[in-house]
Amino acid sequence: MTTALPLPLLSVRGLSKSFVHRNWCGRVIRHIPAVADVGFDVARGRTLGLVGESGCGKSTTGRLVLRLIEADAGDVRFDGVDIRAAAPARMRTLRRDMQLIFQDPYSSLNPRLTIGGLIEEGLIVHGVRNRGEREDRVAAVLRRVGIRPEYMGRYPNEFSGGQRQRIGIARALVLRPRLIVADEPVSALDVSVQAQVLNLLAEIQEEFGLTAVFIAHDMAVVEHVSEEIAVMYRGRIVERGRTEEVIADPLHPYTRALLDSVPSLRPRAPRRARPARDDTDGERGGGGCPFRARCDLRMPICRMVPPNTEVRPGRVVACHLHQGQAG
Amino acid sequence: MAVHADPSASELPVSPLLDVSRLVVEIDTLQGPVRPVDGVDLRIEAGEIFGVVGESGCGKSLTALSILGLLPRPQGRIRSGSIRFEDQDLARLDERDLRRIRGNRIAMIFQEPMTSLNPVLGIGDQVAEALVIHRGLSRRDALAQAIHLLERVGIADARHRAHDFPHRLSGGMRQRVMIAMAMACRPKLLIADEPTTALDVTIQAQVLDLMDDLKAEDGVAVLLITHNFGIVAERAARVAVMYGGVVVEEASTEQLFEQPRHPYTHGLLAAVPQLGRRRDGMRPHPLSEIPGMVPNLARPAPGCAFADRCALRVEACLRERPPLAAVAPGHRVRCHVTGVSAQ
Repeated sequence: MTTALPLPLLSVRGLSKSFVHRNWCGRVIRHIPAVADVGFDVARGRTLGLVGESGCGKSTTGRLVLRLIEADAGDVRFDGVDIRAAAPARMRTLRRDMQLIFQDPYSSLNPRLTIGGLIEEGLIVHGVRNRGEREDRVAAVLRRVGIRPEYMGRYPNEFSGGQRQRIGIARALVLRPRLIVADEPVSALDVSVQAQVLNLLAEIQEEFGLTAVFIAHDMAVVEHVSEEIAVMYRGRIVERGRTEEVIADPLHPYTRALLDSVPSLRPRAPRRARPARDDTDGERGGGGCPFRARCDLRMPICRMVPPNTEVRPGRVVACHLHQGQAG
Repeated sequence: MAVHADPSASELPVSPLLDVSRLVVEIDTLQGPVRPVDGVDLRIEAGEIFGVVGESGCGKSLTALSILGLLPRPQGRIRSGSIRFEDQDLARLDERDLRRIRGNRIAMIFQEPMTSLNPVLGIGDQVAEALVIHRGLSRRDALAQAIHLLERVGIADARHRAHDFPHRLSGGMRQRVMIAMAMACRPKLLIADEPTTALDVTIQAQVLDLMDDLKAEDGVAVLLITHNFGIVAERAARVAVMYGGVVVEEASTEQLFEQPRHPYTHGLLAAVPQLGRRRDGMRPHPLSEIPGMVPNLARPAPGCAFADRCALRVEACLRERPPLAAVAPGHRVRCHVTGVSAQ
């Protein structure tokens, strides 16, 4: 997808992480794979939408990319720098360039700090010593996200959910990062406020030339913000490609099920095929294709993990149905 | 205005299944009493899916709770208005009479299926409970019927699963159990308050399919409360949009989505991102925004609740509350500007 472009700002290969489940005396019972063999590139100034349902590993992927948790295996390169190998001092400077926006505007802001203090914190940590400069930068970024700088001395509880999300954006933005990982930034917001925040994010991205990984479960929201989409299911990317291609012509049966399940605003849209089975009994074991248990089209070969197949440049699908179509 | 001026009146049957009229709910807060529901009118016919949409704080959930007499006590109360269901006014019933209706003639399912189920009781027993209480069945008969109900809502191997505790089930399965409980006494009305909001989208579609099936088979009417316009478009026959404690627009689903009249409905529909809008690598147009925020209940505006956010505001909007007026058969709008009959 990015072969024609210069070096992507973010490049991820073979990223994997398991969490360990211990019994009461601390012995490891099993490893629970959260992210398995995830790979993607994000070109400068572009947005990758990471979409999937709860527990698919999309948030974990976001945190692995920022090295907020350590991966078990894989490669994360930010502007050519191997993040996983970076020494603590190097990591610290890198962190300024890579910021996270959280989902829940209620629990992600420390209630004991004023919003000015919250935003200033990053500047202090990253060594902006001049107090006047810090205040100017906080005021400027607040103004940019649509909060009056006079409110700097107020506490998070005095703001609505939408305003808090603006404050969260200001906090990420004040360090002038190059990469933003936004983890479900609008899913806690009402529709009218969601539109305000999505528009703000789009403006800011354009203005500052930001590169973004946008994590969400809402397909329509992801389509709106991202040039590329990666669909995750049970820790793996099952399909990725240019947004309009994935939406118009989904190749993986899971992507199709996901798109078919999104209600449209057309009244009484004809009912479409539903995924045959509920994902209930958590038949995780056995390996193979992660979607096998729910898939209508499964074949004997699906007992093996399907390889990532690049069916067209930039269009990758992990499904045996499309294997051998590499073109 | 004469009653006959409402052209929708003629086509509606004489008495709907549920007729909420001018319902006002008052809640005591530290700032004094507020009215999160301030004159709601809803009419639901037998066997239809009726959608109520609105954003947080619009009063949709409190309206539902007041139908069943489940307002928080002692701080919440029905201040005025009526809730006619079958031959009774639920707003005037005492707790004992309400208990006979709750879970029996009217049932309710909630957003969070984990916190609505008893964690230390098997799911079969929980479904059976209503049958023991309302139908006077023995525990054994009730359990047998509960297993049948669990099968009907799509729980595989219900005979064995009936002994499972809720934590063994996924979110979608728990919501199915809630639906089985709600349907146990064959209610006439099922109130579903954000029934799929906590569920993933593929599971959401299955749970909504199930509710559709129950409506078709049992003829139960569903009051479907949601913030999601897509769900309403796909499932409901009629819709009411709520804002600031009142219904601002009520119409058939087709009318509402094809010809929204209230500026708030308009704004909300335009603010929803929709699939398939992106073209040729171009960034889509910005979503249209509704400026401002939802009204502060402690300081109610004398005029239209939406006036301060509305692009079409005229002077009357600040002074006087607009009536819910018919603009077409079956289509009513509460707006000084757009709520004029199209003749």
